[in-house]
Amino acid sequence: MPAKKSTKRNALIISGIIIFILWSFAYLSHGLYTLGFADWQELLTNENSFLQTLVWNVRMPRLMLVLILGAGLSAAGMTCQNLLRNDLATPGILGVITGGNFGVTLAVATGAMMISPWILPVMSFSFGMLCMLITLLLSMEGGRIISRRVMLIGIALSSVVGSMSGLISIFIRVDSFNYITAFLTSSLTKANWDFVYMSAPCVLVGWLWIFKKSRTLDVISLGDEPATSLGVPIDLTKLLLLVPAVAITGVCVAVGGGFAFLGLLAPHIARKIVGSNSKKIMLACLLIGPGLLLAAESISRWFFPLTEIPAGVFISAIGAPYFLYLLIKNGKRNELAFA
Amino acid sequence: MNSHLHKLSAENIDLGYGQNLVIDKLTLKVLDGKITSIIGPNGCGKSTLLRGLARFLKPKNGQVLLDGKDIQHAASVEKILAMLPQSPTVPDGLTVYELVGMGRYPYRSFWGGLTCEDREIIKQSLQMVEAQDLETRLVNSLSGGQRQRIWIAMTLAQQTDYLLLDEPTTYLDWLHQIEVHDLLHTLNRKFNKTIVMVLHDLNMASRYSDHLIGMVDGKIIAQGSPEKIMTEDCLKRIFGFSAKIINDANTNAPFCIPMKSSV
Repeated sequence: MPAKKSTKRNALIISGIIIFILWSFAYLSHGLYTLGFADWQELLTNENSFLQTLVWNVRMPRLMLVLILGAGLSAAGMTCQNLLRNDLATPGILGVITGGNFGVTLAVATGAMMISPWILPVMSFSFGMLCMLITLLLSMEGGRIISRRVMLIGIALSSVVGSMSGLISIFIRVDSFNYITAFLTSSLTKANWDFVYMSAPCVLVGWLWIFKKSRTLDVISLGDEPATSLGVPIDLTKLLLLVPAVAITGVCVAVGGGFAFLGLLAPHIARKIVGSNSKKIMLACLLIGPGLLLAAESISRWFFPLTEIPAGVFISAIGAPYFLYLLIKNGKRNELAFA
Repeated sequence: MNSHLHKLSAENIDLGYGQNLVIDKLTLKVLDGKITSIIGPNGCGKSTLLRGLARFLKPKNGQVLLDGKDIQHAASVEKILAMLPQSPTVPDGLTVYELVGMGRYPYRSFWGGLTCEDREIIKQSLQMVEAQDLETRLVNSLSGGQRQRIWIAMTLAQQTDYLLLDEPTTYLDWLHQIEVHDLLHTLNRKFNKTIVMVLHDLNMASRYSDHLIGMVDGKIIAQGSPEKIMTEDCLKRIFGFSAKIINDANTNAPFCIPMKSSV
């Protein structure tokens, strides 16, 4: 019986990987200009600057970001869900996304963005982290981080910062405003190799750190007291795991977007398949996170090639109803988690 | 199994939440190798005391000492003392085996996987609570009694000398209450575990404990053997009700029948 179960699981994993690889090829090939077999041959054997630019400089970095963001955001989401003991928690709750958006708005409004192309991602990241710090500081009570306060204060702070961004955008020029809106929408249209080189190491280090700590995450998901009884220094550990999770999200927001529901959806699907073991969830999310993102990207690029409706819109279109479903279905249990 | 090497005590501790002081200058020596039950009316600070002993709450004044060291700073407490909170919850999708395996967390290696020794101890722990065949079940699909046994198995996998339990039989019917108490009794007598628990059921406390601690308003007002505490006078002082005490020949423990409250 267990042997049969693991065969079935292996088959699922292998077919998942094969589908993902095939889909990646389709993703690289298909678009406003679709590469046929002859084009691929041409690309691999001859110098063809048009094809090389298209595949190597335009589509490839997008695919890389799909992998980085998909894996990073789902691991960050899972970490927050375990630490705050709430299936609906994501790093966004700590204000990292609205904070990042504020940073970008500020950089555009003040003209600081003209200094360097790095200014926007850097501003996005630093203001995201700043918001997280404020949320955590305000959530402390007698030197302890209180999980339910984290969520409440995060939400309140997010709306304050969000309205400040809104206020600034009233006073700026229309084209700047459009620029900000375009930059802030979760989408990979702005992808380039610089973004890949910048985000990959950060996300990789954060991911490995969380992976290494996955057994601690499992223990914490039992609650603060059982975890303390098992020897987890609970407050320190929460910080040591929340900060990397938020940092990963900050990096992802800076180069592509928070894809608000990805961090919710991917770990949840993974839990349904592999159970509640964090290590297994993280491994499953390596496929599920990028898979969801790739699907959303494909829909946006293939079906709406000229307008390119941002992939974030599709993730939200699936994620938001799912979020509601979770809320309604788990209402009772999450009340317990809040208590 | 082994003779007790550890000592747990509280010295003049003040415990509370925020500004609210629940326990005021309490001193207590936990009797090694015995079963101790803390009894008292609601809000008297029973659970607070237990949480202080388990280092979940840091005393505002005074110290909880484990082997003469402040428990807040002592090393490897998790290998000496385990505490089971009242009705703990687990995430969906967690299996019995995984939960009991968490008890091995204090002994994890660098990469954190389960070793052969871990697996052997998890198996033994499940056997001790007679739950071998629940191994692959989801914890959330179990009945209250089964769930409590699994949580106890988790603390067994932790291999500690002390086991602290906050109302381990709340929400259980009588059969399952007896099962849990028999199990704790076996753990104490056969494996020499020191057990400290908060109990509401006086007759269960009397029957299964070596030592009773009676608390009122954050203070210990009486402690001693069940024979000494289960008296009309003592119960009146702790709970404020009149009771008739019978000595039950079957269990050889005093048995109390509440008559009426004194208010």
